[in-house]
Amino acid sequence: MTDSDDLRERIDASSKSASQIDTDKENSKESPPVSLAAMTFRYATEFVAAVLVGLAIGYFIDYYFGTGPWGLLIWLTLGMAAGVLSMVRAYRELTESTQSEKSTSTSSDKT
Amino acid sequence: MTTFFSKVAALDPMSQFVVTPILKLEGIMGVDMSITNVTMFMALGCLLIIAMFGYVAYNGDTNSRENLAPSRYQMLVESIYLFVRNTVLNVAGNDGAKFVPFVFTLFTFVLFANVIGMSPYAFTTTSQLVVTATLSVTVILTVIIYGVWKHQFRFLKLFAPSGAPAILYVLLTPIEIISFFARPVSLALRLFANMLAGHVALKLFAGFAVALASYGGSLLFAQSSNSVGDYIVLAGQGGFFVILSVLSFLVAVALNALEFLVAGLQAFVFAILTSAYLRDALHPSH
Repeated sequence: MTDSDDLRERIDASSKSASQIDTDKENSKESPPVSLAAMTFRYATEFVAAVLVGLAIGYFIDYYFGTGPWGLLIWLTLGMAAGVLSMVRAYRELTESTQSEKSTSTSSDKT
Repeated sequence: MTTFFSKVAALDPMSQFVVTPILKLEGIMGVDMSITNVTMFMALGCLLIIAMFGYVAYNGDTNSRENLAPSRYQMLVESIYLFVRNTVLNVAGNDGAKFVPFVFTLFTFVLFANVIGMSPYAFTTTSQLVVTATLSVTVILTVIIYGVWKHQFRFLKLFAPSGAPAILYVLLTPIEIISFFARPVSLALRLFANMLAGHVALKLFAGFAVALASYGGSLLFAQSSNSVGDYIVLAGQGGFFVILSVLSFLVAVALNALEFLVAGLQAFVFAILTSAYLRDALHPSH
């Protein structure tokens, strides 16, 4: 029993020092954890996917309802708008996630 | 003597992605059920995952005395699990805990498929759009089914963000619908394009190294030279191609390291975006 108590103490001590190292690393880190290339690639796919989905919806509306080129034109424009919107959202998500990671790591230390 | 361009044309960077049936099977209701190299390497990945995590699950559960302190291997496996768990809880909130097994399965599957694809002669299953599209369709169906089951019509709030003038919803709702269905498309496209582009670049530079070296070597050791001057010119050209070959080999080595990074990073991105979409199923109003 004393053995396991001793072990518990040692585990607590080492995990405390490990989290200390984590926060030190977190505070010193200035750049976001994701690489620039991955970030850029994310924005690109976000935009392309939205345009593709808009294109597909417009195409099928035209195909089934025979509404000439209008469905395609309108939905393609909306798709581009949605693409910009998801790019902005991806950027906001990325900046928020890096900030919240920092705040949660410091708050969990206090408890 | 073969020309340089015929050697370059002989490398085909896309041949590594050809799906070939290994065991032909009769189709069930018109669907081809053959075992292909894609199926085989996916099965290999699944078996490795089951072996790796099953071993710890089987051995780490016993309450014997020597298992009080986990082994290094058990620490490794548990840290992967805790990493995914923390990601899901951070992104999707605390009630996202019920989706941890789902996201963990996706993460390990993509990670193992990517890493297996990095070993020589192996097939990269995530470089097939069918595979990544299947994964992302699973994600979006989970979001839709769970969202409708949990919130019924309130799930449709996702398509009508609050706080806009009524007339703007005519424009906003289609945009929200497109951006909702663009998510699985971008999820599948990103993983597929990353793996495809990485492996094509790797193959091209490795192939360049071989082609340039063999062409440079054939110039360097050319037998039929009329004069000393001709020989020096040929040797100079050969040396130039050999140096290019060494440079291209170094680029291939660097790309290899980068591809290992991408393999892990893309699995992580897949997991984090899946949990971001699941957050919308849990809390539809932004």
